[in-house]
Amino acid sequence: MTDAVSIRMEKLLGGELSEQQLSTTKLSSIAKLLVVDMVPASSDTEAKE
Amino acid sequence: MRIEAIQMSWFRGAADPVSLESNCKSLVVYGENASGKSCFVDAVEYVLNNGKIGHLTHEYSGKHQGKAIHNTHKPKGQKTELRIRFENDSELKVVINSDGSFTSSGAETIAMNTWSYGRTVLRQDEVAAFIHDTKGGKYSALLPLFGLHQMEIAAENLRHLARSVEQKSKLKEAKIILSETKAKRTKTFGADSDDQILTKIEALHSSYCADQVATQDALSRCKNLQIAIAKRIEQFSADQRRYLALHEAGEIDLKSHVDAIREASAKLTDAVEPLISERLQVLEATGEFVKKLEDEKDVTCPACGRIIPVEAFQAHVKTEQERLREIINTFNARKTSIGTLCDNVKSLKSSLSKVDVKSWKEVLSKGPLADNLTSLDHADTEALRTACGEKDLKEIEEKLVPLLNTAAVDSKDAPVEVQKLSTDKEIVSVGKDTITAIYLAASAARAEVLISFINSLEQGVREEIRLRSEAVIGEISQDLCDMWAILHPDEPIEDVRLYLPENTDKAIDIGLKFFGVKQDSPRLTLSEGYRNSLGLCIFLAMAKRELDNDRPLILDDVVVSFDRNHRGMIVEVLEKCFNKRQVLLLTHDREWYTELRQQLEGKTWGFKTLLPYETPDIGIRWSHKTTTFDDARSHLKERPDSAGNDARKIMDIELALIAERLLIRLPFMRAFRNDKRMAHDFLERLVADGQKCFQKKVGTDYVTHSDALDALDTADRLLVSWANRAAHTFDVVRPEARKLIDSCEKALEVFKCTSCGKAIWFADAKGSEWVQCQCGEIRWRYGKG
Repeated sequence: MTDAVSIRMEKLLGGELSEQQLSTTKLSSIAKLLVVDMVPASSDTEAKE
Repeated sequence: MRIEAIQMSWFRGAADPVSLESNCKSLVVYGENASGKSCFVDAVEYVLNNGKIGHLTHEYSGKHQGKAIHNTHKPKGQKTELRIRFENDSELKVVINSDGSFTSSGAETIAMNTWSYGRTVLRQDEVAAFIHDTKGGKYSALLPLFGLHQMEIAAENLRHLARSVEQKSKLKEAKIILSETKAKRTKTFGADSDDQILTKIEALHSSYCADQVATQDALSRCKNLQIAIAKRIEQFSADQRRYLALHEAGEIDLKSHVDAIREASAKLTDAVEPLISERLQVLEATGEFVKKLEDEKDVTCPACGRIIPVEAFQAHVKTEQERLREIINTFNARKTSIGTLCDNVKSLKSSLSKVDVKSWKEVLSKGPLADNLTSLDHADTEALRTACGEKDLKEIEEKLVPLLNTAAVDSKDAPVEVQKLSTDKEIVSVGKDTITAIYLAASAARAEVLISFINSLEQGVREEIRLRSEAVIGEISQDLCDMWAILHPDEPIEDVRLYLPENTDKAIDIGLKFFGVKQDSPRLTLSEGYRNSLGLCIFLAMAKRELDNDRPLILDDVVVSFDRNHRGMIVEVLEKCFNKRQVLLLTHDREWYTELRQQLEGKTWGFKTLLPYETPDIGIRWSHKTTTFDDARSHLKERPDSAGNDARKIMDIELALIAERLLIRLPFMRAFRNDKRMAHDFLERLVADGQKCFQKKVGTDYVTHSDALDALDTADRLLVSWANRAAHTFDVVRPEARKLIDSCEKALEVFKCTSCGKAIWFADAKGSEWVQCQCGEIRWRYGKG
């Protein structure tokens, strides 16, 4: 697990995720950010993927 | 926040404004069936449930229950209104429109909206509702008491987030592409490792692109190689290009994919393709669905549509998943083969549409393969991709395979340089796909790790919810156990508790020991009466946890199925656990009401009696007395014999309790007969003992209370003559019945002090020998005859 994902999830659990049932659109946008967060920052090529 | 008054106008059975005034005390309300008690409860429910009353929800009541909310005889111009006044003098006013919708005003609107109906009101038909509810329903009912709402939201969001990540990362699509690429890679590179493939690409790059920088990444190398190879081909002679095109066409593999599809199709013969796809989606949800099922007898399987017993459902779903697992694999393999077949047909079309093979095709078009060429021209690969049937496979086998076989034969003698270039071109093409797949596999692996991480977070939150829930339900269970022990002392049903079932999220159930045997549900062994008793304990245990909220508790006819012994203990539970909370207790049980009047402390409890209901335009009315003689009076007009009989029944109950309070000694009778004594038995003894025991203060001395004894004696004589006649021969006339009722009422009033208003047994005087009213004006020599 990357640090970026850990940090983002920690913030989300302390905020939006615990406040109210989120819409599909909102969850989808969070999912998109998390997928990007999973890409190791050191590899440019993988980041493009 | 205590309720001071509930006022209704033209609401349900109410006509002109009628108000339940509690003065912020707890209250016992007695009324015969249909006297209008529950209308006050309806009023509270209407406010708490945003204009809805549960028992009125049916097809005839209208969208907003307008047909049931208003008094049927409401005159034109009158408004249907509710007013609830609170201890701080604030008031909530609700005006109800003709369709049942409403507008509300008042400072307490918001405050009262936070009250939960389910934890404020318990009605007769709801007593066992918690027990009969599903495990999930029980969990939902208790959840607000756990204070874990936020965590529950987080867990649900995490569950949905994991699905979003799966969709966003296109995990399923990636897996299909990886499967297709794996087959091509094996064919071209055999068991070569990723590094070996990259080395081969690098070597080709050095050979074809010697003039370019060697530090480019593998994918760029492939792209450069494809450009370089294309340039080489351009430099080929026409013959070389023809050989190359035919060689490429001859290398295309259609047959093995046709065979693979046939094999997979044979396995899927009994399954309908679209349904399989739907089943796969439905089965995913079924796993979750099955966990939430419990109390239903039968259930329709969402995967196959069969109706099956719920006990077998879990096993059924498991079998369905096992059975479909093989089909899922076959289905996916077939899908992959169709994809590859379509790509290959496309490649064949592309190879044989080149100008380089024009002359070859012209020769073929004049021979036996002419139809085959036409078939190739008409081949629709995209249509084939969505629906590939046996007819299509046969067409490919009979028309296209001979074409590529011919191409292979005709390119057999291709020059070495053409063969090499063709092989290199294949290596570069598959190599490029393989390198892309390596990145895709890494991306899919990351997505899977992420999904797994989110799932683990959800499980962590659920575990935390479970731990905290266990602590709270432990506390509630202790109260439940204590209350049950009060209601059912020394009975073989014990260890009543709430518990979280294993391996199930969001579920709670009730366990107990029945004659020492552990039971997972009260529904296995408890009678209906015991279930109701348990339901009441659960409601009270949950309500007790909300003590800080100081909401009223409203119990509407909840002891209907209780026998006398168990009903009597409810007072102890209420006084022990809810002495600081307002309780509104409504009952149609005259005997219990009478008992409560005797047992409950007048300082904190009030008592009110409703008059029997007459007509909708008269509406709900209060009796001015706390006794129930108005029940009897209501029959005077039509049935004087009933009126007299009611008076006798009221006296039977009231005098039994008075005799008990004054420790009147009566001759012992065998068995149940002791409990069947009549008013005359008590009155006779009270009058006899009263000569010595019933005294009134005159100046500083006490003298026999002759007026009281006369009143008791008069009542006794009338009861013996008229009340018996009323019960047996029914020929009591109205004046007689009226006189009997008045005499009985007067007889009971003698035990209440006219000065201080307290009963004669209010306080002890001179140790244990005497009891007296508060001011000492009347007294009774306690336990002496």
